[in-house]
Amino acid sequence: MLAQDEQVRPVLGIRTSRGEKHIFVDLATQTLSAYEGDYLFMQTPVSTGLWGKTPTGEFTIWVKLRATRMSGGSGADYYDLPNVPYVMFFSNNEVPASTGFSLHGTYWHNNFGHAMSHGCVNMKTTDAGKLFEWADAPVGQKNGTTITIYDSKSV
Amino acid sequence: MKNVQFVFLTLVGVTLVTGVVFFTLVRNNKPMSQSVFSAPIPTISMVPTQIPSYNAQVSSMDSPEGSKTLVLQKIQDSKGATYSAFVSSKSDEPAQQVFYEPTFDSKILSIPFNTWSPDNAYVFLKETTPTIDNYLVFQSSGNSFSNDVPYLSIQELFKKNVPDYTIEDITGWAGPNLLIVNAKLIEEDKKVSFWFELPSQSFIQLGTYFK
Repeated sequence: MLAQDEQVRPVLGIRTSRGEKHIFVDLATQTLSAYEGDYLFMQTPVSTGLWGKTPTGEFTIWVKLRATRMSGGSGADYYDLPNVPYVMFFSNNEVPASTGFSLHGTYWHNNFGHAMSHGCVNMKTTDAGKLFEWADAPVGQKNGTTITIYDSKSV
Repeated sequence: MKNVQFVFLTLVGVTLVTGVVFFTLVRNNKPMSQSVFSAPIPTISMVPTQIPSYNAQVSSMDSPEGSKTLVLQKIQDSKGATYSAFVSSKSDEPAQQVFYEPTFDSKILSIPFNTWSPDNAYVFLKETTPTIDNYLVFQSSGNSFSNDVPYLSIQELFKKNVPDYTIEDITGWAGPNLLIVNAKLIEEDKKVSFWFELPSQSFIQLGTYFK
């Protein structure tokens, strides 16, 4: 009831809350869309897995980090990237936090709209910064922002 | 007693004269509202000045971390379109022109989403014509390439160096100096990606196709 009241309460004539936040990533179009209720907050090209598969399903953000080091792969695919900006790690029951999938900013390539990652969702750094400020990490019993990753061609 | 009368009469006279002068001055300074519009208003014939008609369109794209912006301005007039491209910076540096070209044909220039190289050193524009798309690469500093070449025409270089393939698309940057070129064999439907390496201006064929 309190949540419903909060949803419609105007402040200075402006409705401050539009509904639940939800991020959608479409692997077929390589596009990320972020909604707050029906309100489209952001829609932008991204790069998902080319050398590694990006998992599909419904996830929640379990931690947000302003920057972190990422490494992985082996042989010619080995990577070690310091200071990856605006990292939003996500997980669910089938894809645990230890697998290390995230949405994050990208400073080593600029080829968004095309698959280009080892499984994470690569974003233009300015877009990742805006999404990082907007999206929620879990607080107490409240989950972080929901992320749905899907392939519109196979749906 | 006579002196007192003389002084009194003089004062009365001076007061009367002052009053008359004051009244006259005030009357003359009254706004002459009735006579302002009494004269006929002169007719002014308007001769319109011909202003050349042109249409300006501006598009832009920020660099990946947001410190610089590539701005493309198109001015369309009856003769054709003139394109100018500038790089502006969030710092106080003046905007740097990287491109200026009047065109008289159906060529269209646009800024791709992935125009900026990851290190902000280069930008590329897409040039669309009815027959073929070309891609022009510039240094964002506004400097020319070696031999005073203001920009690199990827189609020209590709035709010269990789004659068996045609370019389908240039999608963006794989690294600071590596432009991703998607191409296909002219004779077959085989698709291949290349890296165009800026320093050597050479094309490197890849095993991975960047869809």
